[in-house]
Amino acid sequence: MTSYRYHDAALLWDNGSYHYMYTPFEGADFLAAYRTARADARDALTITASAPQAEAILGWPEASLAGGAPPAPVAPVGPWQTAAMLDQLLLARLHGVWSPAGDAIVDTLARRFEVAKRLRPAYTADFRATSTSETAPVESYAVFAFLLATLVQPGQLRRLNSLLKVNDLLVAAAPQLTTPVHRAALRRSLDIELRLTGALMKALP
Amino acid sequence: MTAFVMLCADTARSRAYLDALGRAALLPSRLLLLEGSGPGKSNAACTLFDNVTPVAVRAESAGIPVERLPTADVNAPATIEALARLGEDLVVFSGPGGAILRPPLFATGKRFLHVHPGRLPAYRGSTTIYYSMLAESKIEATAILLTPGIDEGAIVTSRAFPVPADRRTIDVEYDPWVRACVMADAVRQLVESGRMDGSPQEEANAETYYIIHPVLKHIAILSDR
Repeated sequence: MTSYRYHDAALLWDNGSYHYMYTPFEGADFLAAYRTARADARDALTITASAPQAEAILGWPEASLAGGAPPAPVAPVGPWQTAAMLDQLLLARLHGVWSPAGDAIVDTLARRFEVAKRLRPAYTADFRATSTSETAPVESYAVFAFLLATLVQPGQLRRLNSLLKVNDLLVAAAPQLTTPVHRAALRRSLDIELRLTGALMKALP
Repeated sequence: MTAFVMLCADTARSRAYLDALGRAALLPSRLLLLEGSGPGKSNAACTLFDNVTPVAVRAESAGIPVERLPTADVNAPATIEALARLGEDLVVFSGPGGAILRPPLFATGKRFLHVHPGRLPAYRGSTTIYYSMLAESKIEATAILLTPGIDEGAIVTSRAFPVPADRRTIDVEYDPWVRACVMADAVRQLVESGRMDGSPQEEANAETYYIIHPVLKHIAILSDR
């Protein structure tokens, strides 16, 4: 029986040796295994406490946060912390005050993630990692995955590709996500990913 | 006609290149072989080209001198020194997968001809053959003269190909073959004209892709669009 093994925690987090080059073809069963594994991971992300941000994430794009909206995203002008930046972007997204600068920051982080297989804790204004040995907190990956998921339009394969990879990492690390906001971020990200890949699979014979 | 050399590892791609260049009567004057770097993904027999005979055997049987370099590193001093000694300006490049040419190689003054499996600049980066199948149900390959910027070199020529009937052969057979067809087109164009140039890429149309996730790869292979 084919299994979906690309969210193996030991390979993804512990030694970082996993890579996606020349992955073997495993037939149609592989896609069925992927969908089952992803749906199981999503359904396991139960959210017990009530939190406005978590509810807005789960209801996105129909739901939004009420109250004072933050400013729309702008390009960084100096060194910045990944966790703080992503939290600001999340608030902006949930308040519906997005901007092209928000797209640019998320897309650049996606490129950095694709190359390094990691998000770093801090970057310079021109997106150079201030450390290449440390990784950002797992909560930041969850926020990043949600933001990326909200930006993928049907047919945008580059963004969808990054989303699949960051969700592999996050499913492997899901037990570390303890707050409603971060569990909701991963749950909604997996939902959107499944919808997008499902649309592509509809074209299969 | 301008002479050229081939710098390669013993991979399926290099074997396909020698096959296509031989069929086009465009053989290199010398082959520089990166030892210890191959064979790569597969040396199994296939239908589109000879993927069994090692490149050195094949070259020598065609009367092409083979210089074995004591390294698999395309940027190693031995590689640079070997290239710098040669009079030919044009180098057909078929190094190990993922090899990136560093500035000292370009400082030799040689022009490195490479075929990228995607339409440039729309499909820069890795595994673009699958991305273009998913997005456009077609495959294209582009010959470029390499520069330090990845996939940013001047375009010599390109060609579109149908998606193969058996998409499982892409990695080991079809990708090397389409690249080889375009390499033969490009070499003919350059050596017959004697002009080592191409058309600059339109940066506004550029998009860079990264190694395709296995889910998208499976959808691309299983699709019949």
